[in-house]
Amino acid sequence: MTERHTEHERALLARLAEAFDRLDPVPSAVQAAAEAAGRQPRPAPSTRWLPLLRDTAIEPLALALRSGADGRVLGFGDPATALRVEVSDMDIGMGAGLRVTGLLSTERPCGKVSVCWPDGVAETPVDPLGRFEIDGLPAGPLCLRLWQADRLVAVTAWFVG
Amino acid sequence: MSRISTSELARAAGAGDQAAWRELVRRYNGLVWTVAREHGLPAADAADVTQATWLALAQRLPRLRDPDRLAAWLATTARRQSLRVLAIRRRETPLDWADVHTVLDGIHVDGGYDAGPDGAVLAADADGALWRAFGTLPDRCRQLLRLLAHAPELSYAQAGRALGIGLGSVGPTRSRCLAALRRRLESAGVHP
Repeated sequence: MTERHTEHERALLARLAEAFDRLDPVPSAVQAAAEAAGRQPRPAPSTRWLPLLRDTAIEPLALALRSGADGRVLGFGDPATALRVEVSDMDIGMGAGLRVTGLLSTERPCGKVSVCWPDGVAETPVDPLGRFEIDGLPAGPLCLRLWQADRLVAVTAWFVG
Repeated sequence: MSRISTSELARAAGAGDQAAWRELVRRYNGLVWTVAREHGLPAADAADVTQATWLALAQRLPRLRDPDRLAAWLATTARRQSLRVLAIRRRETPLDWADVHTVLDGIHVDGGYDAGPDGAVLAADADGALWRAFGTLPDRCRQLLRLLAHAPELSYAQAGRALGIGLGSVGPTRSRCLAALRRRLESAGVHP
C-alpha cells in the first residue's frame, strides 16, 4: 500500500506508529512470549499438520446441535485423520483449568495424544475407540500432538483455549 | 539486520535462525498486538492471541508458501484468533481509551522522557494531541490507520482481509480517515 500513500500521509502514519509504540506499547511479557515462540520444537517434515476445520466458538449452532456438547467443540483433520475436541472448564471441585475431551479417527491407531502449551505438555493414552481426556490444562494457546508408538505423526494448529 | 528483507528473514527463521526470528518479532509484533487490541480484546486476551499467532507462525514457517506476504499472514491469523476469542468471551467491548489516557496523563505529570523536561512536555503534547484526535475517530478508522501505521506495506486486499473490510472500501476509507485525522489535528492547533 506504500505506493498509494502521499509523503504527508506516510509521515502522519509514521507519527501514529511512534505514538502507539509509546502510549500503548506491546507489553514486555508479550514481546518475550513472541520471541520464545521461535524456540518451540519444530516437527519433522514428515509430521502432518492438521488445520482447524470447525469451531463452535464461531459457528455455534450447527456444531453444537450435532455434538450435544456443553463446551466449545473444535474439529481438526486431513484426509487421513479426523479429530474432534471438546474444550470445557473443569467441574467445580475438580480443580482449576481446562478439560480437553477428544475423539480421534485415523487410518492407523494412535496410542497417545499430548496437549501442548507454550511452556508445558501433558499426555494421555487413547482408548481403542479413539477417545481420550486430559484435565487441568492452562487457559491460553494450546495444540495437540498425535503419536503412534513413540513417533510424532501429526500436530494440530494452535488455538486459544 | 534491518536491511534484510522480510522474506529472507522468514526463510532464515524457518531454518532455525533465532536472530532472524527475533528480528521478525521486532518488526511485526506491534502489528499482531494491534490487530488483537483493535478487535476490542483486553490485554490478557490480546496477549494470548499474540502468542498463539507467533506459535502458529513458528509451526508453519518452514512450509509458508509466500514469505513476502508475512505481514499479511500475521495480520490475518491474528484476526482469526481474535474473532474466536471474542466469540468465546462473548464480549465486544472497545479498546479502553481511559487506560491510554491514564498513561498519557502519567507522561504529563512525570515528564518521563529521556530528552529532558522541556522536550518531554513538548513531545507529550504533540503525541497527546495526535492520540486524542485519533481517539475521536470512528472504530473502523482507528482499526485501519493503526494497521497501516504498523504495516504500511500491506496491500488493500491484505489490509481488508485482516480487518474484514471489503476490498473496494479500503482505499476510500483510508483516505477519509487520514483526512479526518488531519482536520482534527488542525482544529487542535497542530499542523501535521
